[in-house]
Amino acid sequence: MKAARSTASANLTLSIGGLVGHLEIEGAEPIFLEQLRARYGAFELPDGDWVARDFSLRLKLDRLPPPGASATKRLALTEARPLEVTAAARAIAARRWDFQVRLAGRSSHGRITYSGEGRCEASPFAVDCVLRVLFATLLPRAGGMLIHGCGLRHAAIGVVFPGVSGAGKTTLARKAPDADDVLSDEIVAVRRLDDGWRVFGTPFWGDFARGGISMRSWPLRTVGFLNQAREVAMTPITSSDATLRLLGCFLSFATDRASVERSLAVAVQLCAEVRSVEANLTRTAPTATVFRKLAPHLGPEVTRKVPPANARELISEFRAVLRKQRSYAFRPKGSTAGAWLKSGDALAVQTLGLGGALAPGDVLLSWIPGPTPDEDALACHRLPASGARDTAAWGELLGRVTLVARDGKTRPLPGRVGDLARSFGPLVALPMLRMAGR
Amino acid sequence: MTYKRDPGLPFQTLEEETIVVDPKTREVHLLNDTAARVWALLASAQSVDALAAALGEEYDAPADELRAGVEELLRGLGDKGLLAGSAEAR
Repeated sequence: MKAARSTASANLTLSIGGLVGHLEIEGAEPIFLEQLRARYGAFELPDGDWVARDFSLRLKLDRLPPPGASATKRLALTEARPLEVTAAARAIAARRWDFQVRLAGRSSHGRITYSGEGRCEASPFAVDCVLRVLFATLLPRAGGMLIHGCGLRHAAIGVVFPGVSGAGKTTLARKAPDADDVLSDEIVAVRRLDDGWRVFGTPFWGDFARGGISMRSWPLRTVGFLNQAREVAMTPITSSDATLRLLGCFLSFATDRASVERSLAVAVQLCAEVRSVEANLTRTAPTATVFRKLAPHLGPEVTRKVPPANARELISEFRAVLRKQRSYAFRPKGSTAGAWLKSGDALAVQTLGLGGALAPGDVLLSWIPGPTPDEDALACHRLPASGARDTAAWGELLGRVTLVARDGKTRPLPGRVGDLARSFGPLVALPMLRMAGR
Repeated sequence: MTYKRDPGLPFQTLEEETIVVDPKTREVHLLNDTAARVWALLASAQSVDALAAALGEEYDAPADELRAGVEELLRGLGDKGLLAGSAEAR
């Protein structure tokens, strides 16, 4: 007898370009949800009704496509029933042969949020297209845009290399010495925040087959329009030339006048405020050469540390580091209700996959989202005797605290902490917003 | 015959140039300073004579050259579908 497969609804909250979108997905097979989380996990926020969302979409999944749904067939279907997007001030609708969604906007506390529903084939291609359409349509309303381009982090800044298909975006990404510095080889998000323009990684990738590793944004210092050439050279271009080129590379699906005007205004502002060059690159030029040639156009203080834009970005980056290294030691700043941790102590944290199953007494580090990005927090909790089922309110469990260091001496926190941790009290909560110099 | 720009086209004026976007064709057009001035005048219906006269007051160029330039620009704008009722105008 076949085991019943759970297809209950699941929540997926994503932050891309600082915009928060919440999907309530109905009818998803667990394996499909795993697929989605593998793709979008770096941009997933812990779930919470209180988290301010820019859009909420209830998405009912159709059954899995038949086995014969090959790429060729999908292409033919897309040509027969291509993507159509209509956008008005308070309404967004998008449909293609494999999905149909509709959202309506309403004002709340001085901002417009969108909510709606739709149906979608249980295919990663369809879900990805829905997300691209929604973020591309809504970002310009928040002073940003999605750009067809390769985004690279360099020291403490970001550079966007816009280009159409075949311009060399993936080639540039593949040459990056550290793949984690690639914000995307296909689509990056840019947005103007209080301290200027920033570039964000996205989960929308091309042949590089991986996107950004976190929600962290970087100050956008230069836009380098890709041009294949025989030798590497960077040629400054005027803001009007840059705007014209950028408009050819920004991701836009809506064709109504208001949407186009909005995107045009964002492009003009970006090109007026950020340096632009024509980036003449060769296929083989190493990244170091590219940035050496680009250096005069990056402005001063390329290596000046710029803190993450908010706590959410900081914790997202922390999660990315922890996932990569599997363990991490840091010195949090904050307050504590537990005698075992004092200001100035350092913590060593391991990902949950290490050190065996969770057990009562374990001290866990979690990401608790706030209503706004500045209100997100890291917190420590001791796992109660009732186990992990009572941890829903703790947000996303990031890891297990294995060690506390104080005055140069380490104080082990055994996984199954036993008598030591149990003596700390029923719950130890530690807001740790102020990490890394914030 | 008079000419007027398509009022449905989004555009943005930069320092001297103007960018016009055609959402239907997804084409973007960059108008130089002279063309941008004509584009501004085309907010209301204008004849070739009126446009040439207006430019004559601002640019130091022979009238026949200005008129020829205006006619060529209007043809270009019409061909690109940037004028209201471009088909009728031609």
